[in-house]
Amino acid sequence: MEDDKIIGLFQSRDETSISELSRKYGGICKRVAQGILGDFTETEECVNDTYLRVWESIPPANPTSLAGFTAAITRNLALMRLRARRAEKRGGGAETLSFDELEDFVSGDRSVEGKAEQKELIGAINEFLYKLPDNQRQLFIRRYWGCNSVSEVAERFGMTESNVTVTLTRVRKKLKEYLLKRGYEI
Amino acid sequence: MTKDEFLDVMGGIDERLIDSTLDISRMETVIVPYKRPPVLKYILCAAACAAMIFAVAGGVRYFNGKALLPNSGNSESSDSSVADSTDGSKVSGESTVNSSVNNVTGWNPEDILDSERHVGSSAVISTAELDGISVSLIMHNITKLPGEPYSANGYDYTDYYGAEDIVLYAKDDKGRKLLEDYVTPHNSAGVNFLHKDCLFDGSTRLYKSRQNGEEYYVLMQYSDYNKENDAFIAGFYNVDLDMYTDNRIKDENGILRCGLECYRISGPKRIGSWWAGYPASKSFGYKEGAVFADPEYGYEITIGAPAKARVIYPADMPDGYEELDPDNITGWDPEKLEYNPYPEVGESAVVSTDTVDGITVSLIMYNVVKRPGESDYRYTEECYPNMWVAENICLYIKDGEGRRVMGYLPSILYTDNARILPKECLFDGCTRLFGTEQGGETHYLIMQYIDHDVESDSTQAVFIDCDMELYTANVSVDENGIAIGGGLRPIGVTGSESLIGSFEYCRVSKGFEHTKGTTFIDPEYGYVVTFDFKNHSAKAVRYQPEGWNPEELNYGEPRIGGDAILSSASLDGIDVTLIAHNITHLPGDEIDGQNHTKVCAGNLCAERVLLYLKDSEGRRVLSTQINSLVTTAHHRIPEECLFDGCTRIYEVEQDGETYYLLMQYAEYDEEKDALLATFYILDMELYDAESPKDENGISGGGLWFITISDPAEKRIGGWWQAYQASKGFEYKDGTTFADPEYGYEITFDMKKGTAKVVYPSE
Repeated sequence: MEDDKIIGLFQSRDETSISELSRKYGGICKRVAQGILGDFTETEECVNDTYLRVWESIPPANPTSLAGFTAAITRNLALMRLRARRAEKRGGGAETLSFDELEDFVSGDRSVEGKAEQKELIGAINEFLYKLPDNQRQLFIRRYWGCNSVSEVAERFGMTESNVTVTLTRVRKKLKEYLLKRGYEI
Repeated sequence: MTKDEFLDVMGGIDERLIDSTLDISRMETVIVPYKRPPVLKYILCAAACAAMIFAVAGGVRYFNGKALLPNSGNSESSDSSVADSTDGSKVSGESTVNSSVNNVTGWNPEDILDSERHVGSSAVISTAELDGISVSLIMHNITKLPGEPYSANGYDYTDYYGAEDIVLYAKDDKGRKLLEDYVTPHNSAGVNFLHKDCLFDGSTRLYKSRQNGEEYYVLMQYSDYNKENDAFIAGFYNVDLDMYTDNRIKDENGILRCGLECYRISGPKRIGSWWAGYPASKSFGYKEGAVFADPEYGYEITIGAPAKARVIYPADMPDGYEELDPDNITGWDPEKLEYNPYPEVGESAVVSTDTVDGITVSLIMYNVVKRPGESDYRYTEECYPNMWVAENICLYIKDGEGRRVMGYLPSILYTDNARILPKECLFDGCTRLFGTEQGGETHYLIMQYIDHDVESDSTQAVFIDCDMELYTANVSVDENGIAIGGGLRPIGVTGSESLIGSFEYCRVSKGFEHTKGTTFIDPEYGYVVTFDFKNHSAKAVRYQPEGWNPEELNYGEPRIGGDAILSSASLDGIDVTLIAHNITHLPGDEIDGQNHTKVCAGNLCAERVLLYLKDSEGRRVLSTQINSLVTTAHHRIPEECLFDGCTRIYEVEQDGETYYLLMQYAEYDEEKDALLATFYILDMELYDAESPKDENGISGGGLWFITISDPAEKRIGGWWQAYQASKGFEYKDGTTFADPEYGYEITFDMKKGTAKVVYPSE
């Protein structure tokens, strides 16, 4: 079914919208959630939560890309679940998504004050990402949106892990400079 | 910004960026969305190959259809005429047919101009035309004529024609061409069979039907004759030439192999059923709208939107026939199949079987289309390397009470009207049935190998809980009385992907075996999996063979070659012992300079010196190394650490919760004459979680080292996990302990697994 029709079903509060969404984008939701949670049961729950969240969001939301909209909800719900899980376990350790390379990128202090500032920052990052070459953008999004490991990214793009690491380092450096010029201290 | 904040911000990026990155369109086509099965590669490969074939085929040859004799009918319907085989007349026609250079199917319906039916020939049997659309029934490469005795799959085919292919071929005056090869239910050893009585004038019919203001074409083809009931069986198809679009994959002759979609017909009085056929007399005809009537058999049928139709018998339905769900009509009976682990193309067989307690489970291949190493025009070896392809691959279970169940295997095996199975998954023992015990009840578990990953050369299996008691509850049965799917419930195994692969399919080696209860072991892939039939789940944990079992040691006084309990402590039903396994050196022994050097002096050396814990629920935990005095061959513990009370267990409270703290004196600093202890959080609950277990079911989890921070930097030697502690070390309150001799207090944070030392005198 076309995305417009599925969105129409959501807007008319037709419950078949959920099954149509599941049929069309259930696979991608599972893939995104699984990549972050790594647990089948939690993935299933996360995907179900996604459908509910989409149901609650449309209307009023009218997404330009239903796939991206749904995937983003899944991703954010999966991250929330992961953090909740991490908080429950002593020491965190293996449960923590490893983003060691971000140590040098972010200050480590809480700095985003409120939704408005976050929205502005997201806008700036969107601008930056749109300007990036395709391959760099895809690497960056896979790693920091999809939370794929460096090895997964390398496998997907047919690159060596060190090549991926170097590319990501350069993009992060560019992003940091880009944001600093616009007055964002990250 | 923190890392989490950054990840949150990334979560808000433009949806279109995500859309373009995640290959949404490709993901939509994934048949099994949870994992990237090797099968998917073949599907994609097949699509690519077929697309290439289409490109090579190039120009479309057109045949004007005069050779295919239409029967002049009214404007609403058209019946076929059958070319007369008795006079051997051939029908001429205009054609620009060329022999195909890149002939993948091996034959082109346009090349068949003959109507004569003899062995070795190919013939257009009958044709119907309507509104510029012609549909023909074609037999390609006739191998058998009626009258020659032949039987297979439990059927007598003496009165049947046999041909390599029996197909329906439709085309219109725009050059759009469709082909359907599901015409007859009878197929054996690569030969399709069609009853001779089906070849009468008008056996192929084309109707224009109307419903909801739309017109569409319905094709009817008599496809079988049921001698027992003197009934003709016909198939009904929706003819949708609009399916013929550029982006669909055609064969090398530019023919689309879909668009003739068979209606599944629900209704009573089903005779000689198969999923694509329904009884229809010769007087069957169009009535009005979407309604057709069969005055002889006395029913009306509404053939509406694809792909289901409904039969109504206005008259009373005779006894002896039951209403069946069209989705549960298989048209074949597994009871008629014989065991053959390597069936020929076109054959159906039981390819693997296992029996436990009178329950027999069989893997069935119905109508083999391709064998590994061979090619079919739709499923080439290039695109489906080392694959079995069959119309159906399923499990059939029968118990001692005669209950019969058929279970379809996961969709990973499904592709384009067929099912596939890697050759690595078909071997003696690939279908296994286990009787297991849980809570005093017997549960049966089916394991079937279903996939093979080429890169890692690993096989994967699916596990199915087989509960024949469910047979009687709410199950639908097929025309043979077999419950479809009833009583079979797949169980997904959870565990790390490196161990078992992803999601519901589990990496299983041939060495997989049942140990006891509901626990199984896979020594090759290194995991133990325990099934929980009540909760319908299974969990795999890493299997770490130790080669010895603390429960089976013959403990005694410490002696060379012996095993000893060096100390012990108990609290709340938890027993902790410090054990030495295979002692190699005693503290007072001379140093031999070879196996034992001066660092062994004053130590007890053994193959292993470990803490062993057991609670009242039978959960058992073995620690990892307890100190830094470890080599590959030996564990050591200083003599000074072996005193009454060197192993201690405390109960402490933090924020209203109770925790157990385990302390073991483990090292000795000779220079400063100081004892050092290692501290652990003891959490037996972790035994049941993801913690690895060895072949004795003993977990490596449940003990967490506590990291001790020492701001005053008074740490004496030892390793980072040990801290100086005198024999007078004692509990104070809460989570705080005191060491009067060393003059410090230590407060544990049991939630975080940390501890901080404070020296008040400082």
